[in-house]
Amino acid sequence: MNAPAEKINLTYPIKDTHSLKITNSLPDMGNGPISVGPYIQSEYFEKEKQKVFSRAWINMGRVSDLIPKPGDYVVRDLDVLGFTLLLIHGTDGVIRGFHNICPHRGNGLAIRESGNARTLVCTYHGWSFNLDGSLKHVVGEESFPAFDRADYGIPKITTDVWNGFIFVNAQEHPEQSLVEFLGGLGKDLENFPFNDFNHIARYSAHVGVNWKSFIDAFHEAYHLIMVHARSFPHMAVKPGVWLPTSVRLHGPHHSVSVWADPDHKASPAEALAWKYGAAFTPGKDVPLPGLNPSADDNWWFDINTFFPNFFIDVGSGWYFTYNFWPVSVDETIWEMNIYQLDAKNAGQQIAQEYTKCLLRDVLYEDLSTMERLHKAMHSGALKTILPGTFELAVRHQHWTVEQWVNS
Amino acid sequence: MSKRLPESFAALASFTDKWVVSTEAERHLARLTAGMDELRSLYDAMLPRMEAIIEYLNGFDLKKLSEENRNLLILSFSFIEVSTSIEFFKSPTVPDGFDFRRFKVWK
Repeated sequence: MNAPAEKINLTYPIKDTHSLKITNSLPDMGNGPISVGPYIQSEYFEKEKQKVFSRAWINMGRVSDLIPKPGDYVVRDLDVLGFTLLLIHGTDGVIRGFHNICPHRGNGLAIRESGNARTLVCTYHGWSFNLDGSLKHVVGEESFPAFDRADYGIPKITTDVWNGFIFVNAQEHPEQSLVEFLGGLGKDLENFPFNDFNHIARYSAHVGVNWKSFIDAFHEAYHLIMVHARSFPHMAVKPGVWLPTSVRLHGPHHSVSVWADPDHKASPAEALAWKYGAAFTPGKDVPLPGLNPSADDNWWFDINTFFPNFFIDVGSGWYFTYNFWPVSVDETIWEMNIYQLDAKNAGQQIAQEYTKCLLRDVLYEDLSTMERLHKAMHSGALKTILPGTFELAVRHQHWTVEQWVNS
Repeated sequence: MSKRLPESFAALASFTDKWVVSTEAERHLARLTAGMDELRSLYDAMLPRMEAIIEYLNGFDLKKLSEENRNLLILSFSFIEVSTSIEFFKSPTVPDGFDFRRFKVWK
């Protein structure tokens, strides 16, 4: 299906609403049913851990949220990568990642989840380390005769920062640098002013569903007509609202722009939000570099999926992130963080509150289908799923995982 | 016991005890566990005043609000919080939605 790199006019009954732009050629991903095997087989999950999560750059969150100041550290248990990560903001300003391991006998070095320190001291025998990971002091060093200090730093984990986002890579020498890995999607968002935004909300849930199904709930708009019929009532009844206006594939990543109904009628609270600030629903536009890269008419927001498990969705005056952490083939922890531009007055802050509350309530709707469909996949009655053209991102994600797993 | 509000909005005092709570997690839980009548009475009292509240609060530096003004702002957040229940869901919780006891609100 190698489509030309230009606008494709799909023929379907509402084609007069708008057309779907696919701005690059598509790999041959097929268009038939997809087996549910990869969503429920433990062996497949093990392969994903080795071939996907141990090779890709994995987002850990923002410096400003996790370790904003020199000396700050945070510990994250990463089941899917098989190690415990210790992230440290060095006194030299460098963000470094380590295994949370004392190289002497293997005790966990930081025993609290987060903190601020000038030196990390192992609670087992008191070996201490500088924030760059180098060994500082060994109690009774003379008792280690064959001992080269340089061999006893905290074991490193490859870590880099892009636009304030921390990424780690389980490989000592990754096949690609972080910037190379983020590729065209990173480039499109390069100048988005992430640093000007404030963190305003965080949500999480532990859900009985495969991580891929979970992700698939968030990069197509086709489900708006049913799942969000209550929260976007005027939009949901309008034919065509569930269409993406443009899709951009960037190697393993992709970006989908979503259409906004220009006739959308605001509810009373929403109308206040539009009048006094920037809201999630299409109201006033706040033009920022990186938004609406295909210059679509009636643009609403962009869904940016960074392979394998991270989203940055961007809109007028807000962005939010999702991280999907596989726990097992059947369980995933989902985290969402919402960011907004600094509110200059109470009206803007009330509008932001509206955006936050609406997004959160919409998430209850999104999460509602997850465990049902995972059970269905285990039932034996559902052998395949069938993503359509409007769910192109679902097919692309599935296809990319397959490519990596079989590489 | 009611919390202080600016004089021109004193009529809203009866809502402050429950709804002037500073975190989203507290306001959200208050909404999820309230009855629809209670949500409706807050919504109905606030909606016609919201423009006046915003115009009034916009006259102050957001970073240096007095206690009364901050209480009024937080009460407005609670109005926003309950608005989706009234305008969209006709229910304190999201109908057919994910179980709120399993959904963690961190802030």
